[in-house]
Amino acid sequence: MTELILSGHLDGRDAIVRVVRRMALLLMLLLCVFLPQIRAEVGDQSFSSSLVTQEQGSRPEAVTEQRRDNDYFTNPDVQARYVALLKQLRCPTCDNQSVFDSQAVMSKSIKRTVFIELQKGRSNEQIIDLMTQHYGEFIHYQPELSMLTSLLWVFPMLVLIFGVAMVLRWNKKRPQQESHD
Amino acid sequence: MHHVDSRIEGYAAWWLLSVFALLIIAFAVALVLVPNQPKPLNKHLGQSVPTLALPVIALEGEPPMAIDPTRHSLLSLPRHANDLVLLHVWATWCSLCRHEHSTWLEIKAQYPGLFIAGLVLSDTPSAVRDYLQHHASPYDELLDDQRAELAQALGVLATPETFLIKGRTIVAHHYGGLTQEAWQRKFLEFMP
Repeated sequence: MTELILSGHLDGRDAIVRVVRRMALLLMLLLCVFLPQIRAEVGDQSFSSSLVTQEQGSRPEAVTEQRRDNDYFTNPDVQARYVALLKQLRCPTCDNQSVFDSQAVMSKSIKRTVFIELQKGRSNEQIIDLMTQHYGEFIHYQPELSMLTSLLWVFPMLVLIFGVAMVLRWNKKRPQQESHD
Repeated sequence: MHHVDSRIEGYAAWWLLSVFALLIIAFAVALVLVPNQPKPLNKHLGQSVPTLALPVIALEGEPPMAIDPTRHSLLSLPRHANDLVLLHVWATWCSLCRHEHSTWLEIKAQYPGLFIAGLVLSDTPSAVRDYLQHHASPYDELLDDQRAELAQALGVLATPETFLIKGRTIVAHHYGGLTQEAWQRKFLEFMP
């Protein structure tokens, strides 16, 4: 990769500017594709770990609105499942929010049902099934993988591949054109 | 003399342009043709009403209710196969519900025999009593759904919502505030 980028000519300020520009373009493409995923992962980890420490120690004085609403769990595993389930369910009232992120009356009602069902020892599938009985497929916040929704994952990858191909092509062309000038 | 780096030559430029053009066309089509988050059909249309015991809110002047398990649920509603119940999901904190209140009074005046039940979400009985004393009550029975349990079992998205129940079956449903127009379009055909 670096060989290709540097294959042109490093004989001056222009060349350096060119290389920096290409690197920036690549970096931007990579960020566009992967940033949302990275952010989601980091966000998940920091939140669930703070929940567990809260469970082990005493409850902090200043509890946020979100956490005050979460019921108290003695088992961190069940707590993690609770959070994961709430993130999989769509808030019925809000246009595009998970139940986890929402304080709407119907979301609170769903949080409570999920909590009660977990205490009863129900499986994740049973709980999602129950919600589907109440609300239909609409309640799934994460779209099922299908021919249509696979576009969401495939398209950014195609854009990335296309971008990389363009950068490589420009690098290859450059020396020839430079000689023409 | 020096080559301008930002220029993109040859058919690479056409490639890029066509990709962006395709994107713009796709966004434009989605913007114009795809409706803005259509609400899903209520899943319980044609199905029977979920049964769940709920406390009843007694209005001022009504005799205090004796604890009666059949009265404390939707089961207390009329149950003959052709009996109609209009179930209104609302709350005093819901501003749309305040807007549609006059429509409910009109409907009660038009059909005095129609049993209207109010399912009050996440509210306090005293606030409900105050509100209905000031604005008149179209309701024959008020159920206190503190934690939106029955509402959840009915697949309610948000207050206000209206269900028409015939016997034990939900036959019609409306999202949002009830208007005369919505009433005529969705509920009128079921009226005797």
